[in-house]
Amino acid sequence: MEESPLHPFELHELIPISLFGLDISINKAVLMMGVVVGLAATVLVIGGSSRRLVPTKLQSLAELLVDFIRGIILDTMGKDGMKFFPLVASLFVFILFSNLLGLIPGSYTVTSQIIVTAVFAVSVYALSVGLGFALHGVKFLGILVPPGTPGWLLPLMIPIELVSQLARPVSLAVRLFANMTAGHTILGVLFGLAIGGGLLIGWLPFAFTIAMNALEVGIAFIQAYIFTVLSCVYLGDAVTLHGHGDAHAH
Amino acid sequence: MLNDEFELSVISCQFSVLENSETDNRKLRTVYSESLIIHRWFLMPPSTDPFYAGLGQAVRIGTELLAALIVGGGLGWLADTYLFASTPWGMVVGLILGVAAGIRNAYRTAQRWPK
Repeated sequence: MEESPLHPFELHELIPISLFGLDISINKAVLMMGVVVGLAATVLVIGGSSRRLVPTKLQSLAELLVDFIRGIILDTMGKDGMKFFPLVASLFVFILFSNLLGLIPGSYTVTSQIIVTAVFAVSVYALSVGLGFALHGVKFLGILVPPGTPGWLLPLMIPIELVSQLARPVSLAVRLFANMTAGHTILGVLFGLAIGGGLLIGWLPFAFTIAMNALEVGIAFIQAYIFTVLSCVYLGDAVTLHGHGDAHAH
Repeated sequence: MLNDEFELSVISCQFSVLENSETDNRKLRTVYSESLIIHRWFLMPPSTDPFYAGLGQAVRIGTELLAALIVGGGLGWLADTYLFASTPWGMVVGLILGVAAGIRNAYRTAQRWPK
């Protein structure tokens, strides 16, 4: 009964596999990732294949998703950003589905592993930096100098801007991971209280778990949304060389 | 966009309103728009919704500060350990830069808030 609320995040090998000395064992997270990808692909492929004027349920869901992602891209990057639609849509759908499926009791939240979110964040950021240098060459370094900086401030501003640029992928990765982990830890603590309290008082924390679960559904949406919007803003910065994303979003 | 079950529930809502008070057109309309809001909320919060735009930007600030601090301190530590052997000064300078960058990022995020 006494169990750490962090226990659900621990991963254990289900099927140990070793390939040329690399440990590629199947564990709960790998399994869940497969389920997420499979379900997302099923919804979008089946929903996207029917083109009825009065949509079926799956078609309606797929259309809502696609329209929502299109809205994000148009808001942050404008019409030119539609080139990134496949990347942005895959990111959003994967994160949203893994956040939501992780809320089902007994399943696993893939995005509560920082390595998963870090890989997403670093690859998006690396793509934006690579794109910036490919499109603008050395001029891309100009994002390190905020517009209107007097010359004598440059030795101070460039290190600060460098740190704030490098903080972008870190904040992307940490935000998603921390929100998911914190939410599930709170749920774990409340469930522990509910079991420990017994029938007399245990119903109170149990009622709170239900309320928290509803809140977590909202957080699952919002975190997927934030991750996608920020990826769009960073990619848009690299393309337009506007620098700091201030000019675009909202 | 509305599916069958949802339309059914809207219609039943309307009936109950009709039974309880007379044909109050205004009430009908609010019930309908409220259920529309619920429907949209559960399926997909719209990106233009000011509530979501605001919430999305507000929750960013905390991690914005933290991430810059981690990066600044980390870079300072790396410089200390592998480049100059100047322990503690690299990390001190790095942390100060991290604080400055974090505040700058948070400020930048706040500047984008809808007026």
